[in-house]
Amino acid sequence: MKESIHIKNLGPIKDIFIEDIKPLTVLIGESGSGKSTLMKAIALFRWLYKMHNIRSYLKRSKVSKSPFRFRMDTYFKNCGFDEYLKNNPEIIYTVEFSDNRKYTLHFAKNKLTGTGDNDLVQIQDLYYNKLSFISETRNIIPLWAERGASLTGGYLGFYFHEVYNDFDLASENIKDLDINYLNLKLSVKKVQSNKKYFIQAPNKEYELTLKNSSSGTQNAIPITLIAEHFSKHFDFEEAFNRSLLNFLSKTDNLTNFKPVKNLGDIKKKLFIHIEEPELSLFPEAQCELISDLISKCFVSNSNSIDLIFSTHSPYIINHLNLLIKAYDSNQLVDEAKIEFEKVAVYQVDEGKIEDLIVKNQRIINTNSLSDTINNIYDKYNQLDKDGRLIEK
Amino acid sequence: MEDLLRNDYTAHYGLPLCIEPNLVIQTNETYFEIEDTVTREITLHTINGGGMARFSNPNAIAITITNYDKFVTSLPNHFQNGRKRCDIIVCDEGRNLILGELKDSPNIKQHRKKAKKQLYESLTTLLAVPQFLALTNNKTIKRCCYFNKQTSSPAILTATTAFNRLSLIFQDGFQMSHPAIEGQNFEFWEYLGGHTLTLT
Repeated sequence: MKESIHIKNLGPIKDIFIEDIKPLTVLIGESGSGKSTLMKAIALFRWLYKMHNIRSYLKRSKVSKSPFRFRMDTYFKNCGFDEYLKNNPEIIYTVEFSDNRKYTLHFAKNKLTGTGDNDLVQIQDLYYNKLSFISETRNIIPLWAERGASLTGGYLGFYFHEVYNDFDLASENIKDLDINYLNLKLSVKKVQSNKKYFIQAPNKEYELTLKNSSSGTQNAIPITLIAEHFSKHFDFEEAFNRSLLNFLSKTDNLTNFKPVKNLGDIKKKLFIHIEEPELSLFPEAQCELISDLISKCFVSNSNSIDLIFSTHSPYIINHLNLLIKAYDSNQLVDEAKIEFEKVAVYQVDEGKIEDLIVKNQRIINTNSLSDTINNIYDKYNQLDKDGRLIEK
Repeated sequence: MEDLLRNDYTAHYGLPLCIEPNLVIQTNETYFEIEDTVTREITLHTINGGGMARFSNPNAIAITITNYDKFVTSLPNHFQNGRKRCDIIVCDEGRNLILGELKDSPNIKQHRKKAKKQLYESLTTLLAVPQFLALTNNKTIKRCCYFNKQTSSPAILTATTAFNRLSLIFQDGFQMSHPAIEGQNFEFWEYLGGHTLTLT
């Protein structure tokens, strides 16, 4: 399954084409460069393609009545793209299989095509995918979890509730989780009918609620918990059956349903999208968090996972070079390694992307990420040359 | 290359013959660096650290370095105004044909973006000249190169050195993606700091 995406005129994005979305894709760039828009657009079209697969599965299983309609205006609003529609954006998302079998979802002139009855996914190409979007609003999770009961009906935006639902689901399965890169442990306890989240220091020197832990901890814990859940504990069968039964009962089609393929035979994939994993973390912890994440997604995982994240951190991109080298040396660094061929790093700038993968070496070109530090000391040296240093 | 530019290039674009002096430098030094001066002249250095682009020439091949920027600047205004151009063309009688943009600035990202445009536009302008196109058919090493001499930090601090360590690990430059340049059967390469282009 090879994915490509071409986006034009979508908010800050002018024209971006990614021919092959790699299993680990990293977007680095300045604020407002279009990183999040790009990641949200990819996540949206992956979700549309997932739903198209479910629809194809049902149609091929003799369920004639479509269980749902695609409502692009709602999806665009959820993504915060509704204000971009006036510029007539165009998005082409293609999934390609061997023998040139392709499925293309095309959004242009406010209309989505490629999801009709003539475009159904062939049986051998059916995928059941699960998506997770860990937004930057994840730092509200500890407070929301603590006060959830009193905030019933409150709405903090689509992406917050998406990440909160995944966090809540993950903490159903995982009650204790070592957060090695912070030298802490997460403990989930039932207090009366509510779940409470605690952070424990080594040897239980102290324990405090998650909402009172450091901002770095509050930002990092949801990533680690959700990644751990999807890596090893996510039950595709249960999720698929739940979705299926929901659709079938809604459309009263349960008796018509003649499954064209057993779930066990359908290919499955998880897609995790993370906004700025490094939030509020010191550089060393940023690198260790990335090692932990890569370990969960690509080394110790039971489920097949593709990971995309956006970042402002040059440290993280440089750290990926170390993990690529670890793979090539058949070693682990902080339990992690990553195959060079699985990695893409794009510098997003003024609505376009620059591919930072070096073609003649197995490395990411991080040179331009040193611009800031070089600029600082160029200005420093210049002050010396100009004799404008203030004498004390 | 000099005749091609002075005669064929100008004829193709309907321009008067170029009579600008000192467009070309030749060398067979086994190591040399090229500097682009503020007066648009190209000078050669054989001592490490003098220029923006570093070349290793282990076989002492006769190399011609053409000041393409100076050449275009000498052409009539209606042709050169707004026309992006790279700094140099490096070639030999063998397989090497290299377009180069030279920088000496810490802002790698910004200059890389600009250099890519200058190199691509220079390439398309040159490839439109039949004699240049014919020349490229005989070459096997065809590169558009962005050279940037990196800056140093105050001696008491190691921060910039640390951030720039990648250039010290790999000496040969980085081949990067540039679909438009690759579409013309050229490659896009980036040479920073100590990276050295080896001519073979």
